[in-house]
Amino acid sequence: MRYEFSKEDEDFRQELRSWIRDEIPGEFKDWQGVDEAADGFEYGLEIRRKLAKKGWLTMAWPKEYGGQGASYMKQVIFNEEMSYHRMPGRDGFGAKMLGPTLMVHGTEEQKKRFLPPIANGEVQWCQGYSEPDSGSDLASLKLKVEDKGDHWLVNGTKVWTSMAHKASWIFFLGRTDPDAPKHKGISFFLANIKDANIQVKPIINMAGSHHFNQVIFEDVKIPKDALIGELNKGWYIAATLLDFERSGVEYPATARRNFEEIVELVKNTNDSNGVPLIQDPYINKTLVDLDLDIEAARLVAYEVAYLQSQGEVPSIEGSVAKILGTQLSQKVAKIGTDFAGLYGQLSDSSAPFDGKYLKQQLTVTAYTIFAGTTEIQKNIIATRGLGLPREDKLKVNSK
Amino acid sequence: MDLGLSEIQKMLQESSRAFLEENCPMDFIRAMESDEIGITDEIWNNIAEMGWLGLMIPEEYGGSGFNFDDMSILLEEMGRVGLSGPFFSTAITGVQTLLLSGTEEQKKEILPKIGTGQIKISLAFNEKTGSFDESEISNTTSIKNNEGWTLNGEKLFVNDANSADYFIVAASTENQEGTSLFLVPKDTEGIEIQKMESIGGEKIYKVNFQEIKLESSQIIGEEGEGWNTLQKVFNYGASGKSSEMSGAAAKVMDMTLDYIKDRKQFDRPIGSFQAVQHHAADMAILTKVSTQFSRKASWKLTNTDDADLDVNRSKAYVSKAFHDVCQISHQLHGAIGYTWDYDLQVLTRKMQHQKLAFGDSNFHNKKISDKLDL
Repeated sequence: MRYEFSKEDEDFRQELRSWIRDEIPGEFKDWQGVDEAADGFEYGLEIRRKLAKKGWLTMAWPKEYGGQGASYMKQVIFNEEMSYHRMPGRDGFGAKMLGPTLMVHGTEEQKKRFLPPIANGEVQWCQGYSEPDSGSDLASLKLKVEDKGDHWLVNGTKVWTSMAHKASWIFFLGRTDPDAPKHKGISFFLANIKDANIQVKPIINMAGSHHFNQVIFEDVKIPKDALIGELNKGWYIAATLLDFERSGVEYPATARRNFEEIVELVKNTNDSNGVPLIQDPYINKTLVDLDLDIEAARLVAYEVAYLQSQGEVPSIEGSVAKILGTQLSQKVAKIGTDFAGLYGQLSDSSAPFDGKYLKQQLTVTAYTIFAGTTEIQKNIIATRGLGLPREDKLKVNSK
Repeated sequence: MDLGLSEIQKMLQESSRAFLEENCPMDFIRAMESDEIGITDEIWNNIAEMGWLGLMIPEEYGGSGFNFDDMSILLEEMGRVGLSGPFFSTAITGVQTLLLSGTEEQKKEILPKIGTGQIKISLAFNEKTGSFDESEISNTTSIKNNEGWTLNGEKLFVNDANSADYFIVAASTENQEGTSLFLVPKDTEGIEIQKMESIGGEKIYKVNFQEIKLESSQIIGEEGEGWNTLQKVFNYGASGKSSEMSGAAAKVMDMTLDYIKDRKQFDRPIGSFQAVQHHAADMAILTKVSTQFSRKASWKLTNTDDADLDVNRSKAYVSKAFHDVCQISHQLHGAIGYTWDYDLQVLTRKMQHQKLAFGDSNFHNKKISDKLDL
């Protein structure tokens, strides 16, 4: 048992932290981050290229692919500091998902072509998984990919595709055998999203932001070598996550920064009697509860990374971390809004933080839905973790 | 970062679980609720022989010189089976008080006998408000004289007063400047004890100290400095109770899983219904987080000087979480879990003591607020 990071890890944290603080334009305490899916995209790419030069963008990659083979704990620290400091530049789709998938399943040619641009921070990928009729039941996806001899022909629609409007490439799952059982007729492909027959349509979310898109494939021809791995094995290929930490530490790290900001606000804002809001027992207790929730999510995130470092597959802990982290995000946003009183409904400069937490509250509504809803995560905990029987697999003797 | 158990901790976990499951099954725990002491001589001697009582006592005083984080693994296991009795008062708060502030003579005299099971200790701190602040000590006084002190006052919520051989008594010093701790043999003239009925089988007493003559060698630590010691002892107490509760929560979860996998309604195990599964997942979350909080607190107490905040967080979180785990478990057990004969309720009743001991959630929430400068 040892609840502290090693000296080496702490040194890395300090190095990273001072680098970040030098990179941040202006004062750290005023820094609000940028929206990487919108006007912050270019700045995010700039930081990404700098991270690549430092070797941090792909620190989790094996050395043979130019990575550092960094430990899980070092990755956790990287994510924790980047999230706490509201830094853009990380590459969830390219460096974290597609890169490792190619290392395991790609041909030498595919690796040579696609890995270096990811490692250098030069390319934005997006992920085409969900479809209009396939959400939680992803394996029911229908996007049709036909073998036309010298090329593949793609027809269908992907949806909730984050960053598709900024990306130059998309990796996606398509149905290659409509007659096979649903998990066994899916394949994994890559496509240049700038193809004339691919249409990217914005979906504006309820916060008024453009993160999602609909991606429509209409008679799109992609070359034969766009297939990754074996035909009809796409479901299993998509599950490749390799050596990346999956701790969800970004949620409590982001929440801690927001917590500190909100504490500053309620210390410096008085009620109508001239008493600082922090002295309101209800507000004080709400913040203590929030501190406990942040710590809870952080402890479980560390546990996930620890289990990964031991070569274990943290299925239940990963789900616990996702549930706690995403619920935490919603709680922080609500608190940041509620304490502002009537100003909490405003989005102009008279609202605290220009209405940031109000907008955040609308944005984080999605957190308990994406990447496996809270309900799906609880099903996973119950069935895989606790060994309870799956309702949909149960054979009932009906009378 | 190493969230696994050390080899020693693993051994301790396995051996204690095996011993406790065999020797302290639920019918034993139930019998001990009405037993005057709360543990049989046989089991007490067994745990002394296995070195549990002397686990944290340094080797020079006849113990095995392990750390508090090792002890916390043992406490998880005791929490699991629901074993209370005088172990905690003696081996946790008693030993830690003496280690922190006892004189060499006191340590030489008492610690070896704690390790062998010959001496039991009880901490007499609380008075009528039942809080864990220094202001709690309002009527127990120690007046200095030529030979030593005269002690007067009434203590409440004194755990295991009946079986204790010594009390550690917290009293205010003359002029109310600070707190002093005294080691008082129970057979001292002027001590009266009276039982307070509790619902979880804890042995809790009112202890009256009337004109107790104390020699100068009976003070623990410096005069007026007792509160410093007590704050540290309460950290061990709060952390230890968190460990007991996280162990008990894991047991309650196991019992619940067994039940919902077995119990059939509508021709299927009720554990196959998602409404039930989501309750079970919530229990798993609360239990997992509780274990992390309590282990981190015990590690910090063992290895650092700044454990206060983590102890506060642990006791605040786990006290609430374990209550919730019991509540969910009862919901999933339906009517049967509500009966006296079903074992779940034994742990639920014990929870009431564990969550209040050394400060409830509310108490520790306030400490967190202070520490974070909110």
